[in-house]
Amino acid sequence: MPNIGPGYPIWPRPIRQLLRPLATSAVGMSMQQAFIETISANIANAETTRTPEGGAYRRRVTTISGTAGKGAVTSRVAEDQTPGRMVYDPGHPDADQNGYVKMPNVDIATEMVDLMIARRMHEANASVFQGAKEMLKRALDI
Amino acid sequence: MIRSLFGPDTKVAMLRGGLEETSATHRGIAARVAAATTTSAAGDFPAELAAKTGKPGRMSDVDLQQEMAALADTQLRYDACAKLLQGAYAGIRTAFRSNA
Repeated sequence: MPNIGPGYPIWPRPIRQLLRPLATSAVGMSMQQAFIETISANIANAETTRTPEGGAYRRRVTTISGTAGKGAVTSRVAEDQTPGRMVYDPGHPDADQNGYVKMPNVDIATEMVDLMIARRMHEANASVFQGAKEMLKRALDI
Repeated sequence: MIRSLFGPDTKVAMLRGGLEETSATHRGIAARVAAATTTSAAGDFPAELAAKTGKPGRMSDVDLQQEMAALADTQLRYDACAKLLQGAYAGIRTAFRSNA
């Protein structure tokens, strides 16, 4: 289970409080990065009918445990167990005796929507990060 | 004398309080935006997973537009407090210099 967010470094309290929004937004961006990695793997394997584990590729979904801003955050990759569609293609090397090939359960449109959401969420976190940075800079000008 | 310049009822103390308050608001916004999504999937799978495990689905109750508006508001308030505090400190500094 990869650790996405380290929680927070042990700095003195005032510094920790100042830097907390930066750390929280960084964890948020890392989470979205993990989502995008999973989505890109799903899209890349949308036509993979043979995997080392056997059978067609199964769509992967990343889930997050823990809350950003409140301690450590970890990600877990689970397999979507919905069955993939069967395509009639007798010439395919992975076709069964009836000529059907079991395709991955990846829907490109769904993945693209997920990708858009992850991208927008990454942007939102980046905006908060930028805001925190500017606020810190402003505080240093006092 | 010093108390009248930096004490709890002064402009400086109030502005410092304002800075701390807006910082806390910003921390809250950062936490809510970062925790807005909990899984990479938007299809039916997360809903099914949530139904089976009893855990929350992919999107939390975070209203991103509202959070972004609050972010802009917080930044403006913070900037205003910082600028006013800068002015207050500049005034005190000038007073020190002119009386030196």
